[in-house]
Amino acid sequence: MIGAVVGGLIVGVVESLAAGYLDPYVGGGTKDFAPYVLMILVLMIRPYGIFGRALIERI
Amino acid sequence: MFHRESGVFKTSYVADMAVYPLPIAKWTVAALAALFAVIVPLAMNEYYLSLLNLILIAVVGALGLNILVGYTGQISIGHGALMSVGAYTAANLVTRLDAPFWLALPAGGAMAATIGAVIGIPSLRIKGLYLAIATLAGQLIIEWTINHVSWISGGVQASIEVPRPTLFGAQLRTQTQFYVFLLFFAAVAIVATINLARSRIGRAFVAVRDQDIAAEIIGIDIFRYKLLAFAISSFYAGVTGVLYTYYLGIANYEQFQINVSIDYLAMIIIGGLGSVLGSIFGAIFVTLLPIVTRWMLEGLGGLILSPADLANIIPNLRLVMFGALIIIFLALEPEGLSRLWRNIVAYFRVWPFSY
Repeated sequence: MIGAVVGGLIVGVVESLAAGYLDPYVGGGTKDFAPYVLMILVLMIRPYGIFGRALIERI
Repeated sequence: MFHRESGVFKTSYVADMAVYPLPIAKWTVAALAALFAVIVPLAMNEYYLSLLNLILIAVVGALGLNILVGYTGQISIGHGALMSVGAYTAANLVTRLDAPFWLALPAGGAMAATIGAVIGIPSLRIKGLYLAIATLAGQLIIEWTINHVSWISGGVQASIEVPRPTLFGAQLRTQTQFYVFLLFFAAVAIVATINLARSRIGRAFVAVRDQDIAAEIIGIDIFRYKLLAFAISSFYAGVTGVLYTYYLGIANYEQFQINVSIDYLAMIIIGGLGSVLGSIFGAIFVTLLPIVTRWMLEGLGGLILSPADLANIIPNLRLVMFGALIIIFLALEPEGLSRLWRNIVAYFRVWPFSY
């Protein structure tokens, strides 16, 4: 629950920040993929998300 | 494929893993090779050969994606962009350095393999749906990079003109010449994939697909093999992009957008995951589907609909049919067209004595 709220906020803020601060330097369009880059970074550190719980996989 | 076995007993693992399960299989393959290399280019007209050329290009790409999705079990929605990496590498080499195609082609593949391995890095930590989104991010980033770095693409919305490849001192011009050119690469890709699948690497891929933790426990270096799968698969994608660029004569990022990635996923799902024959069937099916639909609608649709309605429906019907077919295949025959083919072969195996 809280993850969805915080995640939505983060994605929106990152999109706007990218559009505001990165676009002038690189020529626009960073808004489209900035949240994905953030998502990859988060998933690399915590594969189950910021608020998710780690699931133990059984074979 | 078309042969029947009788009285053949395999007594060693080597015999079981052989490319040709029976001596007669060699003749089947030789007959097919003769059909496609000699009879088809002589017998078919330019239009049908142009369709076959598109199919041959798609076969290479579908085989590559099948190595990744079908054999290794790592999904990728970024293959369209990897094709554009190959395409633009080759286009820049050809236009800036006058590189011949035998240099531009592997260079495009190698570049795509490098980028593909980078895109594959998240697969070490995440899988399934998350990996699909991560590779989608790769697709968008590559698309954006190519579009915005004018050194690569020559400017936003620009396309690079690429001269046709020169072979034995002559430039390829007609569809027939291109057919032979593309058939060679498709054949190499098919043989390479068959041999890859039965090698140590291929078996490691299958082990990773079936259960990656178990694979790691029995001593398969998951890090290495997952990245290797991404690299090999991306190499195929890069080669596909180069071939497509040569075939069309221009490199444009619009040819390699996300719908291309979806098309190739549709090919291997409809054809059959983890099957070389399935990749070929899928490539044929998905390439021909919009064309056959158009024929049928133009022939029969005029009876019910006005020409204006028809012109509206045809481009959209393609998307509807892709969606419907993927759902139907996933629900009814998850193993795809190659499974249907094997069922037919199994039925005729003992025909007409069905006991």
